Amino acid sequence: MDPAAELAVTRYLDDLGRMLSPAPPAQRAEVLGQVREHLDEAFAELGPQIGEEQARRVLADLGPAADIASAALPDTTPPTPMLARSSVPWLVLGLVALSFIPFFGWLTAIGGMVMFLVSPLWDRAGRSAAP
Amino acid sequence: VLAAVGTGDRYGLDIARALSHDGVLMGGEGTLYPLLSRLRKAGWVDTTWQESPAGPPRRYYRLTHDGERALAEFARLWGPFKDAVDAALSDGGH
Repeated sequence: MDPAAELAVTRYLDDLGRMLSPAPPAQRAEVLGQVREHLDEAFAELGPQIGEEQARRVLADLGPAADIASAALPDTTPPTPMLARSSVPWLVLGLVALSFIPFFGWLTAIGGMVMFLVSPLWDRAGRSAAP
Repeated sequence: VLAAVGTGDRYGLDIARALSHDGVLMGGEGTLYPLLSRLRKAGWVDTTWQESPAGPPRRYYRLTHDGERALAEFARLWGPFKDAVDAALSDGGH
């Protein structure tokens, strides 16, 4: 195989491997194995001398690596950001309520206020106050 | 995909080409593999390795009994569904 063709195939498989990293290891290995076999089979049909153009055509028929990865990971949803979790309002209230502690109270009060301002609670408060 | 796997043994590239040659059922050939992997996990498809006349050994796919039942059930529902869609489209055209 032409070195440029080999590079295109290696890049494709590397990209696919990286995109499949959130999948369970067994599923990731299975899908990567199947795609590798598909490529081996398609290249075996084309003969021993495979140019870059031929390799790119085989990869184009396979489709973008991102499509394969998204078909393998349909249920993946991005995790909730830490400051958007439902426990945050309680934590803010707790920190502010602890402000009566002598000497350290001002620290928890400031912590609570900072958390309130940087969390999505502040945006929500702004929206509900707007006319 | 179950219909393309069928009861005889078929290998990945063979199934992928059968499903993607017209570009209607599947855009790229590669999206077949996550589907086959899921069907195997569900117990509808089984795989075996066999020597290939040219090149490395091939992973062959075949429907299990559960897979055949699922395909038969789909075929049973597909007829009336297709007729209903055809009727709705021809009603809408008039």
